[in-house]
Amino acid sequence: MGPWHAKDHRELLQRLSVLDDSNYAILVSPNGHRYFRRNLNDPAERQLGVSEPSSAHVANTRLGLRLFAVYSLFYLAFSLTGAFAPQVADWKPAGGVNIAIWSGFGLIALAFVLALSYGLMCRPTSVELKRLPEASRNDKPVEESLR
Amino acid sequence: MNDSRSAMAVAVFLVVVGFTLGLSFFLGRKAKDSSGYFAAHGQIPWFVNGLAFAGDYLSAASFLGICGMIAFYGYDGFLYSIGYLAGWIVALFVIAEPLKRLGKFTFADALNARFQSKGIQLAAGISTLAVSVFYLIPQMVGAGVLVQPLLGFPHWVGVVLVGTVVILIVVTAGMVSTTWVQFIKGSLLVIFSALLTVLILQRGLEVKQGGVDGYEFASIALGSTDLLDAEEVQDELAKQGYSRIYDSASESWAQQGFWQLQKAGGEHFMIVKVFESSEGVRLLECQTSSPTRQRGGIREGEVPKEGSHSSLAFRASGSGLRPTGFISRLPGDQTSTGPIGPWKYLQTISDSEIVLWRRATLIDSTGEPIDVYYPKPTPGEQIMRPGEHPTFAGIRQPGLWPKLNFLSLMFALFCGTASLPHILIRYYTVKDGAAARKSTIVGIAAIGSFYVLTLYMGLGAMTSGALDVTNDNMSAPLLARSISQSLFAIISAIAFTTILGTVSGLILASAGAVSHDLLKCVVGVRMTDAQQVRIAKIASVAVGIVAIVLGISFEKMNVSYLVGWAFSVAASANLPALVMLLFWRRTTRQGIIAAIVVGMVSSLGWILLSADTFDKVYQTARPEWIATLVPFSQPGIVTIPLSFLTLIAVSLFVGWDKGRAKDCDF
Repeated sequence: MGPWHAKDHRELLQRLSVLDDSNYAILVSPNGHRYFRRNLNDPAERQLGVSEPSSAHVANTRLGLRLFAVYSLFYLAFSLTGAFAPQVADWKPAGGVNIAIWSGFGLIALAFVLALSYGLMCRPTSVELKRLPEASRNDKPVEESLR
Repeated sequence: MNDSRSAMAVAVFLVVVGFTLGLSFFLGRKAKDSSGYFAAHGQIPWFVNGLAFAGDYLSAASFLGICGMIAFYGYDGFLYSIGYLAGWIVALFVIAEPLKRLGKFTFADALNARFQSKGIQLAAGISTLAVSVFYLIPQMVGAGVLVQPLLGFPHWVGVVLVGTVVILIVVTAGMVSTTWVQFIKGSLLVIFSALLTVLILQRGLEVKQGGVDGYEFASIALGSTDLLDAEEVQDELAKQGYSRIYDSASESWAQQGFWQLQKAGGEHFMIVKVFESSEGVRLLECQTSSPTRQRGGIREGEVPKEGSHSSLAFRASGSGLRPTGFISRLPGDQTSTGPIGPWKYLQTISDSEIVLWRRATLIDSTGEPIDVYYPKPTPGEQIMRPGEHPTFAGIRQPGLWPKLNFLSLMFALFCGTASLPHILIRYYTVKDGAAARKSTIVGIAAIGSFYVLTLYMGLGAMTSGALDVTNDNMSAPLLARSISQSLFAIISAIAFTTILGTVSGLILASAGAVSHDLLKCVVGVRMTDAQQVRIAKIASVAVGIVAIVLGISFEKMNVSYLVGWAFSVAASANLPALVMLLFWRRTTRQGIIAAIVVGMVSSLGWILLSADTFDKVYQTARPEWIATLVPFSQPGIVTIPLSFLTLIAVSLFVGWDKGRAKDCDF
């Protein structure tokens, strides 16, 4: 992790004019490209300091984009078939019900399955780890503790 | 039967609405500062927030619009269900967590987290306002629709009633109460929809010739009679006690497939639709109404007055017409299925023939237009596939534009959810990214289950015998009434609170945009916390009044269709800016402003110039040059990429360093 720094939140808030309360600090990455908001009233978030690990966030984002790509492919196929080959909808593959119904239910089910998988496979970020009970934590950096 | 009122139904309705309001006032006392008012202090539990997502999302459009569209057109309405749910995938996988990390109170704040630009705040504030108002229209239309059959008030009274109650809720409460109201309503909606579905399956399917009022529509079989031989036709009709009437309008009517008949020995006239099928020619009785003669309509229980020409136009009840929605043939020539399983239900519908109703406008011999509602026996397999709704019918015809129109709608539904301001603000009511993620998953589970149920409720309404041919939005409540009055009252009350909740959320988002984005951050008005909340409340009242006026003007449009437009505007204006901000480092503030403005103006412009708007709103012919410019109605497939391209082009042109140095110097 590079040397992240926290700006004094009061100074920032004055300049940003976006938050009315002074409970937040804004963390800025060295290259100025990444920003995080910390709630200073929350002990877990305050302790987090400047060592915000981005790898869990990055991994979650990548996972999200992959699952998004999977669903998009199915949705695209569904939409393109509907537009350019609507006669396919009449085909009854099984159960006496046509493919239009099958694929509609399928897309709804797929959305739920992917959402659940995402929820299960997401890596907890440091803020969430800090919320875990004392015994389940260790002093290693977040990335290592997850390996 | 369409306007009967039941004291019990009204009482149940008032109790549910009263409870919601009471809860709202009670919880509202806790939200005194702006953080509480707009974001519920970020302390709503994720499970509650998830169901509140469902409550927010399952608006009048989902419940009334989708059920109505399925009841009238079959599978095409279900396409909206599929598209609406797919949008959550974008919200969960692409937007949820980064947004939570970036965000403050409003969508504009999130966009502006990197660049402290008044331009972004202004553009995003205006787009929030535009999308919210667009989304408000269908909710208000739905409110009027609900109050009509339940309390017997005209449509506009319903709209004003909802507008007033919502303004009260928002002014007295804020995000805490809105969230809890949405949680209760979201849960109730899913539970009672499931119950309604069970009752639909329990009731099964039955062959009928008319609706729940017991009236049987005439169906006169002419067999293989030559329709061009007037004498042969008269002979055949005479055998069945009718004669065909000719007047100056007959020829133009016949070209549209309509005849006028007179029953032997009486003066009672009847308009019939000539329906040809493999089984020969059938003349099917139509229903007619004319806005200028509406008062002549017969009331519930009355026998249609025979013997006067004016009775021709009024064959029905308080709303002017008889309830419809019935199956004319079941597979294997059964007359009734009895209780039936969910899968068997779909199979049976696929193999049946169902009488759908369509509208045509005829000009009578005095030159006055008459709206004619005619039956259209339709094979079940045609109902269970896309292409029955006029918007989608083009996919089965040659030509590229109708196909692109279909794709455009599906694309806008996919992209729209993640850009709706009132959905986005709900990400700030939970404590962190993980909670946002979990609540979205709960939301998807609840919403997905509900959308599966919409297919059953829509098909149940289609075959309930309770449909009002003039208004598809009323199908779900009328379906409930065909099962039981108390269920009808509960479903109506839930739908009403659905609207209350969604409208509150939207008005809250708009109020946030006005007070926080526009006044405070752009105009630079210095406000104390209390003043900001007060300004937001004043803004709520103003937005509420605008919503009431628009709700009254758009009465006759399908609410789901209107929501499709709101999605297009949201997806075009907000999504490109949001996605590029999160995933493209060279995004500049100028790029974001340009993308929002171009996306919003192009999608709104496209909608205002579309064939549908000319047809249904302006009700005038569309000039040829506009038709060339805007060849199909749904803007998404053009305006969303246009907004993306604008952002990329402007950002590259301005240059990352230049844009950043000016605006982001910490």
